[in-house]
Amino acid sequence: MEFRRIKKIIQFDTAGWIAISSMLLCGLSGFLLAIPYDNSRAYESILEMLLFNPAGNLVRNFHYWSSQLFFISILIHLYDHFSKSTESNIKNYRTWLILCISLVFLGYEMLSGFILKGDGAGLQAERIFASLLESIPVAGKILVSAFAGREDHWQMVYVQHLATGTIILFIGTYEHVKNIWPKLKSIVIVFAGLLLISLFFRAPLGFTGSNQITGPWFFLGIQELLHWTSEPRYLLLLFFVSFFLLIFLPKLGIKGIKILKRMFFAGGILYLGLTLLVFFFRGNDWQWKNSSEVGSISEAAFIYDPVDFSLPKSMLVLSDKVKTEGCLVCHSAMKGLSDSHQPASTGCFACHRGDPFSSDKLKAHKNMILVPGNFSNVRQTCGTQNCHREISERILSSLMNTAGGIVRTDRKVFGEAISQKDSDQVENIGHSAADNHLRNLCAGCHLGIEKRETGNATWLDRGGGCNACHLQYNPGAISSLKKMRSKDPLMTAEIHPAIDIQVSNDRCKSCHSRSGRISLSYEGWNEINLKPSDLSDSVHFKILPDDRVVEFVQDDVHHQKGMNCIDCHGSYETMGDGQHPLHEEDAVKVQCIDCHPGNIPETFMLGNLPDRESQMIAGLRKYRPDTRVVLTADGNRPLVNTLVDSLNRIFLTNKLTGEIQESKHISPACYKGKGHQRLACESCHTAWVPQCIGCHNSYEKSTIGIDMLTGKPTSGSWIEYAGKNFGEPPTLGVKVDGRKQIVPAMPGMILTIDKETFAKGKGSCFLRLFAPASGHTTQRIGRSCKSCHNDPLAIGYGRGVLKFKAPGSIGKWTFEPRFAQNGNDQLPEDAWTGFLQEAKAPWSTRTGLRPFTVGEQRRILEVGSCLTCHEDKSRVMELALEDFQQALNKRCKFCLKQQ
Amino acid sequence: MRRLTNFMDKPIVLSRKSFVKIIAGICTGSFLWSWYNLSKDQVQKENQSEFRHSEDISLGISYFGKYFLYRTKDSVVAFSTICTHAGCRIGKSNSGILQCECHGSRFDAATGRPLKGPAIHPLRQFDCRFDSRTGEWIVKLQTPKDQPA
Repeated sequence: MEFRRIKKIIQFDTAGWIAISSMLLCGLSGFLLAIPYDNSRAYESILEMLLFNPAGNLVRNFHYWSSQLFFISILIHLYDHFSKSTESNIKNYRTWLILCISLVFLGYEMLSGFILKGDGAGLQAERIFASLLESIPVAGKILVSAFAGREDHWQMVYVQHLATGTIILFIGTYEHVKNIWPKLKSIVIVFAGLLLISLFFRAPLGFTGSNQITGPWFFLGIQELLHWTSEPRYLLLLFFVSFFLLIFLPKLGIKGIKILKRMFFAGGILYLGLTLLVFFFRGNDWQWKNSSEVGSISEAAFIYDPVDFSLPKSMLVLSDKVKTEGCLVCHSAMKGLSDSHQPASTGCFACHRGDPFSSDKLKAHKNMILVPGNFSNVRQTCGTQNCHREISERILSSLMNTAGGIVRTDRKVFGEAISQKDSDQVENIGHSAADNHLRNLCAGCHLGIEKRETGNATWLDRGGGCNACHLQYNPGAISSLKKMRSKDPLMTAEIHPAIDIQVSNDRCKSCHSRSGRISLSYEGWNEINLKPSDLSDSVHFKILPDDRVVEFVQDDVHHQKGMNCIDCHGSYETMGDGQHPLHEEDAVKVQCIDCHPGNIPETFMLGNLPDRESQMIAGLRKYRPDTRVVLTADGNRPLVNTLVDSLNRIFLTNKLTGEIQESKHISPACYKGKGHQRLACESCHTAWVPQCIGCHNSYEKSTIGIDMLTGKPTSGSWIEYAGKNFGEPPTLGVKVDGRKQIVPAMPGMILTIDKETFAKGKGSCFLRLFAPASGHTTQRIGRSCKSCHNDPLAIGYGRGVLKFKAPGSIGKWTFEPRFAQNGNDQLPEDAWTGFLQEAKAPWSTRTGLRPFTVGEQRRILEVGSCLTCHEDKSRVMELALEDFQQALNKRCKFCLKQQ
Repeated sequence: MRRLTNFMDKPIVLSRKSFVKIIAGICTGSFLWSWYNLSKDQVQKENQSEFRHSEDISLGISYFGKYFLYRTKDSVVAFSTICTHAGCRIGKSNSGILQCECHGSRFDAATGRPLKGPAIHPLRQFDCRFDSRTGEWIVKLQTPKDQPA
């Protein structure tokens, strides 16, 4: 009984009369809406309604919801008639014809209403509509002019929506029913229902510049079909065929009508399926939605946003000069951001999302993104179409995000399979012995690690996506943050942390103070095996925030000159160039010779920068477009902070201070003679590199570790026991990469990995692998001749005493190692190769890097034997450098020969 | 006064309904004629728009709403930003690839050729010539004479 009563209330009238009621109300609300709506600034006028005009907001909601009810009621009404075959009640064919045309105009009214919002999706919908109309032969252009108007100018659309469409719908209705006045009860119930919905649910509004273009819900199926077809005119053809079939439906026989109605029904179901598919699964650029993409409020069909009539008038002051966003009603006084991210022009929504159409605190902050820089958010924040999309795409394949070099090396050391592709990304690693080793010890150092809280990143914080480098808290911002956290109601002076390109060296330290430790080395510090409590000298030693102790050795000459990491390493190195480099040396393009060439440098005019990001960066740094800058020898990348004058002198601008200093050309000694032609600059000019020998890695089942990738504790962990640390000149080796080059190397992994203790591993292994050394301890004066030719560490034998003994006329080299032999390979603990022995593979963490062969060792030592008597800069050694064979031919009777 | 007759010399009787139909037809025809001319004028006006740019256009893409310029070391070409698939405006890009937000088509900015569907036709090329007299690049929103329309 109760059910019948409820059913009776719900079915207060037929779908047809509900449609007429909602059409009348929609028309009425449309006329009211025309008062605050301004079609010449459509989007802004709607935003103003949402933010400052509750009555306008309510009317707009009412207009929208009544149109939806009208449209849906018409569809139900059609279904009712077709299913009961009561469409045959329409005896007058002219009426049928008018109704068919009215249906087309109903679609037009719905679509033009969507266009008139003026948001990004509306703009694109207008273009698609115009393009479809234009493809109609003969009348295309006239139809575009009549119904779509000019692009970005909706005068015609507005006129047709307001007048023509409305009039035709009323004519159609009257022609059909001969009456347009529903029962009072019906109109009251429909009005009350619509008012209730309108009071609580907002009519949708998208964003301008969004790269998520879908369309109104009834258009989604068409959009999907458009995505699958290269010829949109086929869709138009389908529409016309359907339309003409509908027109001629009454003319068909009973069987024909039945078949046609079934076809329409099947088509309707298919269309509904397509609509749902798009609604739930399509994302940006019509790609399948990423599971991590947060739902945008523009996607939601129902946005709960009660109309608030109680907005205090004092709040509703928003300068004409600022972007129209609800957020700025409260946050327009925000300071601290750089010019390119000023809230007045950028707003808050572009970075933090939330709801920019509401000035209510709770509603505005709903779905807000606290840390926009995290890569899981970046497609909606920093990486949107109008911001930094290109960078956000290429940074994902950069080594700082993938940590691919570390993953490959670790897997190689553990004897596990490596690939050259995306599977070697730290976020994709599994749970093998190597991958667990990474999870326990290395996986924290990559940009993809999420920053969860606001506040300045410290040395112990790693990751954070874009924020890892570009977010800077000054004291004012820290103070504001404290007030915000204390929920201080009197907080008025808000200071946002700066987001800029002034990336200080400290930003690099949290990750680059480990492994190769270049951040520490650059400033002259070498990590040693001491505890903080062991220290007495605070001048030469320092305790890092993570309690590691470092000792001062010697800082890099570029550091002494005040240069920063970003002065050499530009955006295409740090944020990647879209390629998939295997290791750091593949990603770094800048070389010493770029700024210190031996001849006329390759240059490039700054105004001709090939991409907008580089142009933007150059603009932000206020570099003049007519500046001639250095082009890197490797990769042809312009170094935007250089300047080459008419005399081909190179000057370098410090990116943080703006200080300009000359960068000298290399000394002629560097390329004099044949002797050192194969030497890389770093071989001579690297003062020292951090060297750790005798590490041991084992898996301890009973130790609680941490999975740095997930941040969760693990039962059992890989533990690294460090050996001895030295800050001494590097060992030299040969890089075979097409040509042979002498390069510095350092112990990469001289270690024992105890895989036996790891459940899935098999036995322990010993490895003596050296790695290419990028010391970042450059000195102006290169190494002495003796420091290479007479030094066992430089040649690869390890530390010890290397002597040239001469019992007779034939000299003989001897070597006494400082460290005992390792039982695994019978070499001194710190050696790379045996004294006058051929090394046994594997010898390096990289393909193409090897220690000296016996022949090469002998040649080095042969020069070393001369140096036992002759000084580095003596005439004899100068001649040896130019032509060693000639120098040998000039040996006198006192010269000893090498055995 | 002579009465109007048909070819069989029978008098033509113009009923009120016929008269209204004729008037309505004339009105409709006039209306459509006016509309056609107004539209034609509007389309021509839009297509004849001319834009000028100084000589120092950046290498790569420069985006100007209705069109973009692509500069190489040797030349500057102008293409429409309207996707040839369904008429959407293709998004801004800093690389050499332009993406349509609506249905996912991609175009090579240097040649306008589609790299990924659904679009199969190249972007419309506009007339872009260097005026050595003023030292400016002139873009006309019309197909170059030496290119097929």
